[in-house]
Amino acid sequence: MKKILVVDDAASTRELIGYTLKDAGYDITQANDGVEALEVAQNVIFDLVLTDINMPNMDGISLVRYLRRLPGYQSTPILLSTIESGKSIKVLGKQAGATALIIKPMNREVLFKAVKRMLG
Amino acid sequence: MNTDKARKLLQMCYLQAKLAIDTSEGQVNLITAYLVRLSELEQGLRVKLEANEDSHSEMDELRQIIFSIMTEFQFFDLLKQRTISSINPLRDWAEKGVVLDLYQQDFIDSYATAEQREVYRVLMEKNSIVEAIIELNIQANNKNNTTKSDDIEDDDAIFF
Repeated sequence: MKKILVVDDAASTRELIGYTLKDAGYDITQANDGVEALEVAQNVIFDLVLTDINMPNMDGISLVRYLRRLPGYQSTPILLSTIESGKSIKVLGKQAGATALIIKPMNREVLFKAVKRMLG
Repeated sequence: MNTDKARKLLQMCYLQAKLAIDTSEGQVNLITAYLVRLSELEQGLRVKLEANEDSHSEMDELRQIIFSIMTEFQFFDLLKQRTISSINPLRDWAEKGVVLDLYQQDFIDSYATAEQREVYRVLMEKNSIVEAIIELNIQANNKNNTTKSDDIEDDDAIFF
């Protein structure tokens, strides 16, 4: 079973993603922010990381940068999610080393399609 | 009105809105926890009713409703971020004083969504809040007009 780390400070969004992906057969771990996610990722290698950008303590862009330096995370797919629709966020995400970006509010089909494409 | 009183009023506006958001977040989290429990019950029931084909369509509908509620609840994340970026200037003005020219760029920079930037643009163009509200309501009825060209328009994920 593929392991996915879901990072978002909004509990309702985490649960939406968790419920959707669990239903599709993925093993889901949740983290509340970048700091918590980084701690978890140091002990477990996930097949995909899905993270919000705007979070307290450590934002999603910084998390991507830190993850890329961790052993086992150089080529792990990282999907950013954000309410920010400006093109500058796309550039920031790409520069940090993310794989793709999804704009919130997201629906189940868009999320599932993106995850499926990243995990094959 | 003296400056101290004006600052206190700004602080009060910030505080009232911040507390309202914090309280609402607690409620949303509580409802989310109930939804999670509901989804667990739905999964348990689905297993028990596996053999009963008559119940499959109802179970599918129940699952779809849970998905839909969770999807719609993302509105709160948007509401929270939009409100916070609207009230943070009140807090800053209370602390630093109102110097509009210095803060105008901060406004624009803190607006993360296309809707926020559109509200800003319309208000700057119109002569009053009433005129801006009319314009924004017209736009809301015709969503195609609200997305600006500098915003990402893809409905699907964007791969780098």
